[in-house]
Amino acid sequence: MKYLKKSCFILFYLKLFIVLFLFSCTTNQNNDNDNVVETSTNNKSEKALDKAKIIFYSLPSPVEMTLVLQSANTEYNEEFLNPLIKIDDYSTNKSLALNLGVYSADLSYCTLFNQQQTMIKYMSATKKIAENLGITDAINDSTMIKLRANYNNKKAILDIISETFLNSNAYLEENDRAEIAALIMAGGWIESLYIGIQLSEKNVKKNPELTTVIIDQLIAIEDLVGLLELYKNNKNIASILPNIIELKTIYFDINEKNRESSYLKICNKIEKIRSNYTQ
Amino acid sequence: MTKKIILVLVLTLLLPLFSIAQCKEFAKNEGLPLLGPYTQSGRYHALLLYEGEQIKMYKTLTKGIDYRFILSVGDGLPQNTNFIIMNWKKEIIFDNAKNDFDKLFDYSCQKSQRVLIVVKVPRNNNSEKEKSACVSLITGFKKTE
Repeated sequence: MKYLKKSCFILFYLKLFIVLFLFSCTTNQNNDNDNVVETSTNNKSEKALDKAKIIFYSLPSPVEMTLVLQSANTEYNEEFLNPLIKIDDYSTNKSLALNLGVYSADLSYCTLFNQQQTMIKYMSATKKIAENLGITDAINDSTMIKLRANYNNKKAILDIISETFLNSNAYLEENDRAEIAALIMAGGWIESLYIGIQLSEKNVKKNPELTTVIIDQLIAIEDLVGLLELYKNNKNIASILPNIIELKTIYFDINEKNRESSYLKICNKIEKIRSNYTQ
Repeated sequence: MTKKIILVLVLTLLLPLFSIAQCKEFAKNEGLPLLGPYTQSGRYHALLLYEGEQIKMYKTLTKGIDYRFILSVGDGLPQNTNFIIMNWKKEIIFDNAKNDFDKLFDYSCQKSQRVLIVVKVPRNNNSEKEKSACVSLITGFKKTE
């Protein structure tokens, strides 16, 4: 009898856990039919029967963002990086995830500008943060060995950085921690923009090519908001979402007449958000 | 009996995690080798799809960057899976139905824009049982030369 009671108890909690688990897995599925896209193989009956539309938001990775910044005739300045001394201050999942993104962007920036010594230090930093987040396979000792072996091969190093980013995201998604991956993306995107605005000296006229790249990111901010909103019930995501939405509002106010003042507002907001992430 | 029930429940619980891991592995083996000179964008968009299901992906493209889009469809699903890329005006940039259901598309971005990528697995009305397999969408980028 006692054994039966215990089994029922276990079964009840297992069922409850399964229901909660399945509910959590549907957060990235959009069942709305408002955006059904007419494709060439569609017909009306198929359209009516369409199942869940799974939506992904693909932001530029830190490597892609810094590549864009480099294209705009910019120079390297180590002062723009988040100092490594702060690394021990990050202990919560939120601060670790955001700063894994931040350091990944810094890593891409110093690699693109051939700063190999700094690159090794920042890769070690991202490895440490990833370990603290419980992502042990994404950046391991063999990554560091590969990095040192390709010390002078920029393309190979960028591929290694991208691979670590890919592996971190995959690991987190496989372990039902996709909201952490979203925080990493947010941190990386904000840091890339922070480097960009520092390079532009917050002056829209200083480097028009660069400021165009930064202003063009109003396209990406929509994807970042979309990505974060998938996990808005998570308290860490909920805590960063309002500032990103405010940045989106500032971005969407920009026009030819107010370009100079709006650009400055964008810069100030990005600096504030970056300061919150890295403090 | 109870042990068997618990085992079934545990397996049911772990199944979604297995399929996520399995589809990431599928993307790694099928999609990544096709990147060539492009650097992958940092995320596998891979999951188990059934016939009649559709994926949508919003992607920001930046001026001065070349992109490669790679669709991989597992053996269990029809290989005439439709793959469309549209700009913000919903104008079609690429439709693989007009290109022999090609699963690879290269695009040189001249103007920063947000594109919508749609992957739609056709429904097989003759099949009694719905089939499923992994589908992955991988993007790569490189600086325009």
